[in-house]
Amino acid sequence: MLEDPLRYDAPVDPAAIVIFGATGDLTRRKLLPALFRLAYERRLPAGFAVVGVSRTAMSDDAFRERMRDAVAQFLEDTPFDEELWAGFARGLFYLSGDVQDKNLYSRLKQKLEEVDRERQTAGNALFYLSTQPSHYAPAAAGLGGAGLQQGAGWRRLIVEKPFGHDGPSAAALNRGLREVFNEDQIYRIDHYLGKETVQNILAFRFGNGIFEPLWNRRYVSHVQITAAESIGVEGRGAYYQEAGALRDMIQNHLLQVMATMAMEPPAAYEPDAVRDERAKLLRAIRVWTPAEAAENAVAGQYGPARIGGADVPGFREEPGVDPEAQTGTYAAITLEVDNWRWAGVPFYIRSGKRLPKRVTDVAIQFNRAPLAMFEAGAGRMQETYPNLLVLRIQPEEGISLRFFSKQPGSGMRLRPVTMDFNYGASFGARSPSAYETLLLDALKGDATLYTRQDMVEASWAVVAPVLEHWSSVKHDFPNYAAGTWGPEASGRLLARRGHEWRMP
Amino acid sequence: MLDAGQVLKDLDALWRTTGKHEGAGVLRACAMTMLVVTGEETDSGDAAETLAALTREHPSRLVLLRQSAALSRPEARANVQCWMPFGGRQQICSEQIEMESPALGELLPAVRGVLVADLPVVLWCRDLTLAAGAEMRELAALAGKVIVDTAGLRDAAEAWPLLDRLRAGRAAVADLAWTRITRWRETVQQAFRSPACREKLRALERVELRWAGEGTPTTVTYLAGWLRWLAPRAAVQLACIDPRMPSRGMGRIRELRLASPDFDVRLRRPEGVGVAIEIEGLAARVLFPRLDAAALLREELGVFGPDEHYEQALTRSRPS
Repeated sequence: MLEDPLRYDAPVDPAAIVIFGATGDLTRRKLLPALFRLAYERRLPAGFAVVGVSRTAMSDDAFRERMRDAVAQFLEDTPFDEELWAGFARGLFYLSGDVQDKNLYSRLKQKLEEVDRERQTAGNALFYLSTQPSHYAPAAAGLGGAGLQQGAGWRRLIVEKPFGHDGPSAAALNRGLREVFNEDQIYRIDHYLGKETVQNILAFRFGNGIFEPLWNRRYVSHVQITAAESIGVEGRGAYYQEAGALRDMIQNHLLQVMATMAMEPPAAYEPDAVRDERAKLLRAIRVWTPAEAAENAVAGQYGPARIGGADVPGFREEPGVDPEAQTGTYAAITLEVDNWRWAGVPFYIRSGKRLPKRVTDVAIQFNRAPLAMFEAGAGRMQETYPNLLVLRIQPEEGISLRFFSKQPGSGMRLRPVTMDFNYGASFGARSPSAYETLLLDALKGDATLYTRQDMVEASWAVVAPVLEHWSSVKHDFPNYAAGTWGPEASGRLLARRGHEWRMP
Repeated sequence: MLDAGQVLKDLDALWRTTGKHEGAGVLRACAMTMLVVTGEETDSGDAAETLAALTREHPSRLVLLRQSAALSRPEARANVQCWMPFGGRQQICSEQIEMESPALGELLPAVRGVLVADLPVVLWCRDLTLAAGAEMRELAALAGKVIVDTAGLRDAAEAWPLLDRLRAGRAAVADLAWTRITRWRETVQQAFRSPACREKLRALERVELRWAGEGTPTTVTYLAGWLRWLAPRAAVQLACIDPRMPSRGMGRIRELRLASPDFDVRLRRPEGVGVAIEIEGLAARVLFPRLDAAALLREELGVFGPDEHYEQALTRSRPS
């Protein structure tokens, strides 16, 4: 009877969050501001603590001071309240050590016991691996060695992407994690799934009766998923050189978005029911042969350009990047889903840097009307502007539907118009950040928006032939200019099937 | 009598003009009709400010109804309110119609004509003296939800007859005084979140509620009623600890204690936005920022359908 879901959310358990990599950028920019925001919203229990773990030697007070600066700097849409911070900061603790050092974990165990006594965290602990990926398995092993994977309360582990750099390394990482934690204790974070508008795809599809009947091969011509950035690698050159657009965006975020958009209705809105359907969809994506991979994927890399009167470097001129780098800053791929709903419907996915604007959306293009019965030229118009449903993920979240309407006046001249639903206009309320949503879900034990190992493996299987093909050829990079929509070859990718990229 | 058709024509002309002036066009957003009743004593500028703050989250056709004895005949005006979302390129607009008359009843036919088809109608009566009138019954019959605010009354006893009259209609009745205590209820929930604590809640022996300002406000009686529902065995003690009325927006509740021999929870709110929580010796702090009418309405407009907690609290909040 205490819960009043009409007015406020269910409370979360008392817990300690242990952040490995506590002095890193993610902790400063995202995690601590998200946690403080949750405190501001009264979403955290009184018994709550954060234990930061990193190599730098520091006292609890120094860590609090450092985190205070970070929260004050990166907190968005929320006033920094000194009184609230004072209470919040009492729950911040720090432990220095190397994740490779076994001794760290026995000290952590001791620290958690002290914190539990002081902050009444009920023995619950959420371990957050915000370190470099090579430390994930040693950290899990260290936690297991100290017996920290189980305790008086629940124990959970959050892992940041990347989950490996290919299928075998993802499987190896998983084996390392699973030696210590059960699958239901592991939360693989994909912050795209925490975005309100990605969650809204589920609401749009399964909360309404009018769209789902159209959501299949009979009515849909093809689907385009775009994630474009107008910026370059911005100081992440060294990391990006190892990853590239296919690994950095498509293998994880965009395949998850595609799975959300294309999956079958789950039996219930419950973690495993939703994740089962996502996983089924990912497994149903046809895995290309090497020859097919060559035909169905395009890599690109941006060159130097002059933007807004200033020279901007090409990818190969970015700091930390090999001047001969073969890494793609653009990737486009055609996928097909071998199931009854989508057989024969191409899914085109593209992602790139230094494109004309920052935009992420999913566009579902419907088949044109079977007959152009109006004035001459209407058929051509209908081909050029087919019915289109766009699910806009960022920056202007919303949904729009393009259809034809009669132009005012005599005769039957048609004109494409759009009907817009703007998320911000209809719900002007502040949306929680993806990290607020995902951290809260992990504290509640709700894994709906987290990826599962079978999904990770299926995603790697989808992109593996393309990665393999790309590693076997020498690309003629750079092959697109900053401010364009990618290399010319990406246009040909769609033209082969009689389609063309839209301009988002 | 006001001509609803003319008001809608004026509105249509306004949309056309606004659309022409904006290069990218404007986006018209509407999720409901919101009728707002104000009397001469209430400040309509204040209402306009509240509604402007509300329109981003709950874009609606706002119909502001004002009873004004100074007028000889009813008058109406239409305008649109636009705002540019952060980072957006297109203005988002919602519409507002103001109607004034010496008697509210004269506005009823025009109000019926300007309701947005197929969307919910919410009636917010800002003036409690008007809420008891016969015209209000007819207006309330158009709405799915009627909102009043009894928190300004010195004593809850003044609120009961009014709420009874409104609740006799078919519309759901909401009281912003109830909305004001959501944060107290949420914090109590947090304190009793574990299954073991739930048992302690049912076994509570004593509830103490302290407030500031003379009289017993409805916020106190609602919170007491809700706690009686949750902890039926507890003796509920109510006491005013400070006769001075707090500043606006601060709320009158100062302290809540939930106690049994083996359990003790205290929530204390001195003047300020911080609330000190003590649960079995663990001290924590949360914020209860000042609430304005827009924030309260924002929450209330998000609640559709029956509100069981309110019904249960209301039933147990008044003398039988």
